[in-house]
Amino acid sequence: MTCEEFAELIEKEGREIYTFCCYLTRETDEADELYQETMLKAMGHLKRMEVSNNPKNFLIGIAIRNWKNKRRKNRYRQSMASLDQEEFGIELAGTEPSPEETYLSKELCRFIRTEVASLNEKYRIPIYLYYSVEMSVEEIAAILHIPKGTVKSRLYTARKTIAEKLEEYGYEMQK
Amino acid sequence: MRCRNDKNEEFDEILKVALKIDQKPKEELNQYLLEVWKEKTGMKKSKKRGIVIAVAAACMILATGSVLAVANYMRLTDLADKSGIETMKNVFSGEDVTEIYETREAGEYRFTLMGIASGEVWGQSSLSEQVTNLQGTYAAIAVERLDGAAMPDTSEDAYGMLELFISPLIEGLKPWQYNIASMNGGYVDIVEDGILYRLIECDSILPFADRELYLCVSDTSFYDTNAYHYDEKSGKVSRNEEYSGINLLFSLPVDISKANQEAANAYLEKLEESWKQDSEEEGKKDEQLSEIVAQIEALLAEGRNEEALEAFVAVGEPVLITPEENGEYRYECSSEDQTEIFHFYQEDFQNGQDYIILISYKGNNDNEEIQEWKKINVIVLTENEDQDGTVTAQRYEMENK
Repeated sequence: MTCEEFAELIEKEGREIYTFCCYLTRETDEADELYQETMLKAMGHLKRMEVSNNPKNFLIGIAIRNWKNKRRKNRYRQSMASLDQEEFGIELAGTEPSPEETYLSKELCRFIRTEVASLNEKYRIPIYLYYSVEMSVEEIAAILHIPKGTVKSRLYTARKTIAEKLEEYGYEMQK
Repeated sequence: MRCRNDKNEEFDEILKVALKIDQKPKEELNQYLLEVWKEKTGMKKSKKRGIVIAVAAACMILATGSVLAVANYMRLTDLADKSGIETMKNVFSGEDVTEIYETREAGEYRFTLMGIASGEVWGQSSLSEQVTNLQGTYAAIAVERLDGAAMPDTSEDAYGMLELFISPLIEGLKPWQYNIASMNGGYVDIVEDGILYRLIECDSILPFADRELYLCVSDTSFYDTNAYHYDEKSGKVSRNEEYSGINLLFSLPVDISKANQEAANAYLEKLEESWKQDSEEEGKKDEQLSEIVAQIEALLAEGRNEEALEAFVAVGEPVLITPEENGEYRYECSSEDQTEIFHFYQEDFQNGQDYIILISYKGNNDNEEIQEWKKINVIVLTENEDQDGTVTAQRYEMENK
């Protein structure tokens, strides 16, 4: 891979990978770190990435693995993270709305992001992969190394939890 | 029978829109990655020095080191107490503390290296919930604004505006590889009377006391190769005079008699090994499990259930499941570790059969490391022959012995 190609990869996939890192870590500093580690690790596995023919999924797989390792090791910035724990989801909840978001209120979007951010990780990650990264159930199963049925079940449980929260919040489906 | 009614579709759309956010990595982060890439592929050329220096010098006011009145600052022991971190408290109240109070100015700030401590400390680290003896290096740095304004409190939004990377560096070790982030480090920021104090800790650098030891302070999130030069031949780290931001470099005074080459080598070996394990071990375990699951799935999909479940034992009696009004089937699977409710629909059945595979892990708790798989549960769901919509579920289990 040439330098230009690597720059292109960062340009093309960087935002989505970084956004996913933000979702995983729920904290900007940690997201920066995870994104950096993910891209650095990818440099060592370029052939595998090329063979996979799907750089985005490949990078997301690395990000998830790195995240597991980081959490396990309780490494750098853990001390800071512990101070910020009460602010779960605030970064994401406060994000500027996307153009598509205009028909939903900003407040509602924030509410959903905060609720999703507070889900247990086994539900949170599939939800992000499905709705934000727009992966299929099969792709999620492959990337998380869990069976498709488990992915479906986790998506269902997560949806149900969020739907209940939305109901409590007072949101009614239009249709 | 179908799961996706209008409400579901609307709900899917809501989730998609709400979660479709776009976060952009910082430009310098991508720039750093490109630099590393260039270095890795041998494409990086030495930077030309020259005319930029005058401009850089105008932006940066760098004073030579001086010793400040200690009275301006909180005492190291009080600071460590306030951090609430046991190792910090123990080390800064111990005997192996070197008070330095060397100050330098850069940009709009004054940085004071208050002190450093290294050694074996008993206590609970900020980085681990376990109480252990830790061979660590600890340092305290004070940051003030030159215009006398107060540094923002950690609870204020403005706190995040100044990024600081403060880390020990070791002569002869590539600084982008060996720094606080890779050496099991961490930090705590405390703001008191308008002064920001940063307490850092990482693995002990004492075994390297016969080398030059530095403390870098830069206005970046991570070690930035633009801010410092590393001479691969001499192993020396130096400031990049052309860098326009903050890139201070203090010398860390450490007793040379504490150097221990054997311990240093052993530490490096262990650290590098842990980096390898991080990426490889978990990957291998994941891949092995994936292979097993893929094999089972493939056989089940072909209807070769006996083959697929050869190593499994049936658990309990078959369960008859009747669909709910909306066509949804629910199956609750409980094992000693977990209970999970599975939901599925008639259209999920291929050739009259569907299956659920549930994996439990040894030592699995959502916040713990996944060590190894413990059990694989396969629930085979079969449509009943009399076509009344009911389904039979039979659970099988295999233990990882």
